[in-house]
Amino acid sequence: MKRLLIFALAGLASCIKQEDIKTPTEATPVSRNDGWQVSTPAAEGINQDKLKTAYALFNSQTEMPLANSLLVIRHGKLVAESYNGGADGIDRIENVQSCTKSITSLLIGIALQKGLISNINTPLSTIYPEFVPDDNQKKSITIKHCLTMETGLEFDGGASSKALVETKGSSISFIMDKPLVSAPGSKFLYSDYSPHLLSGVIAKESGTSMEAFASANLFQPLGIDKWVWEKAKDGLQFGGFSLFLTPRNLAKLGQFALNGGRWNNTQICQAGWVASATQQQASNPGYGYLFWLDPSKNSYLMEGNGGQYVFVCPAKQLIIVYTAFPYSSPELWGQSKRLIDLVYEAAQ
Amino acid sequence: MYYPVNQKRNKGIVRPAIRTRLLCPVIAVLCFFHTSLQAQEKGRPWSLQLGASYVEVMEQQISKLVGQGPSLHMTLTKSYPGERWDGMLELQLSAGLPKTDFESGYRSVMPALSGKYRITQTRELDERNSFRFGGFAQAVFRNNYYKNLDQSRFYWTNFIGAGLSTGYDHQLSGDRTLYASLDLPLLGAKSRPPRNRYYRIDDISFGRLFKNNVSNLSLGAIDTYFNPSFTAGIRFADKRIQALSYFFEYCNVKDEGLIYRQVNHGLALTIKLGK
Repeated sequence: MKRLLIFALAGLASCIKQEDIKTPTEATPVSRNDGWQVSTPAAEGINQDKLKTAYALFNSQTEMPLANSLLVIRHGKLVAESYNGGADGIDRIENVQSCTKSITSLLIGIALQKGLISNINTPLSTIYPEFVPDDNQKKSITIKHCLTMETGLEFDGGASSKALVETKGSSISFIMDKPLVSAPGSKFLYSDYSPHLLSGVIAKESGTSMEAFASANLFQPLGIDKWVWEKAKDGLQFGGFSLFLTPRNLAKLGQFALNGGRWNNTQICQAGWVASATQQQASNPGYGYLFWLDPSKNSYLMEGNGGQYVFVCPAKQLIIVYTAFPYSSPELWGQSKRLIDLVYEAAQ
Repeated sequence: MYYPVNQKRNKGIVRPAIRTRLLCPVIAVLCFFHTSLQAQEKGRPWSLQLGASYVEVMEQQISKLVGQGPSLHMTLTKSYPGERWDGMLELQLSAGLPKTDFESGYRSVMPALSGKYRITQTRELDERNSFRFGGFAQAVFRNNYYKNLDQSRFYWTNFIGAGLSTGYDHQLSGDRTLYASLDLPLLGAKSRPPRNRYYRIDDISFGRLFKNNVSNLSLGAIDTYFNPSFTAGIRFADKRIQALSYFFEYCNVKDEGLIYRQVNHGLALTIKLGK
């Protein structure tokens, strides 16, 4: 009897071996016919040793447990890329989460270029009056307030996003019916609701969905041929999250922003839009028009849950794309921002 | 040609014809069990087994991180002795609380519910030793929620099917018997979440949860659903405490090239509930 118990207790030890979480892979990009020219770090003035340090961190089991991809683009050329989570990582679309917000901003810039929107001070109540309650303050909410996260409408994090996903009626009415917690234009409140109101603006003014508008005017010109964009139950794409892209295609959107909204010598976004969107526009000094700012590096970012980002530094002609498992809590994001410092320092 | 990825195509809902093909063997086995049951006596009193174990889990749909932690089990069993075949019904409820090395607290939860009906025949090898063999039908529903790793979605690993059951008894002196048993599911239908789930937040209404739990069915044979469970212990005749045992369960499920793996081992105490 005693022996049996001793044997049983001795067995209560770890059984599943924690496998090598990541296989360190060569970060040398492969040439594919997808619109990306490839180059080498040395040819583009990137210190290879410092870059290796960044990829060592990316591949670290203990520091970056949920990392998916890391791409470095300089002078418009892909100089390094690495994928975790299987051989299909390069072709796999994943949720870029709130990076979607910055892409919504780019689409507003395109709508301005096409004349669908006359200016960003247009009140939402003149675009879809049927969804705006009879309240003077709410009637004064403009496109610009949505771009700067200053609508004043109540938003309470994940629970509010979940409610938006689950709402059965008009998603715009659902948001506009929320109480005001501050006067429009007075206070920054990061929210999934503000960019979603812009999805409604684009749908209304273009006469089609935001996805169809993006497909014809942004994705197609950039050669982005694979995506999923989730919708609310009324059919409007979420303006603030849940666009699924491959890392390389996400990088194209970073390059498009770095080019000032031009692609293949065609001005797609309104001239000056990206410059405006990536300067301080909100009461929050770190925010433009749905872009995060990094003044210390004279740079800007698209950022999403999971610690994902597209970092763009115009001065260095540098883009860093980092993607990760998109649904985790911040506790598991690791040192994703440290990667920016390492690659930034490597780019001489 | 520019196209968005077809969402419906990726949801992986099994076609009706495939569903029928998967369920036919399961239904055939259940019919056999039903026929066997007719020949058996009224069952013996229920027994309650309480167990505590150490669980490890790896969900490759998220990552290759391994979560570890305690788990509690409660199992109700009722045996149905027969002339040739003995039956045993097992209903189990368990809950694990794993966490990975990267998490500061236990925020994942792994509730599971299973029902198993086992039919075995005993062969006496000599005065002290006997061997049992037979089969079982089983339905097991494992629903895991990894709150830190995935704030938005549930994961499940379910199986409905049948397998082989074997056992060995060695009579010790007095009223004690040393025993060991091994169950191995062989064939059935398994359900896992599709790898590409294009919704950010799971709808957790009861209807949706139920639908998820029986969606994306595929064939669960030994190469894609490997789930042996081993128990060894000592049994006491005519005592309130019927047995003390050690159990070990391994589950390795492959789907869409990704693995769900779970290991559970611990100790259990079995108590007789009736007279």
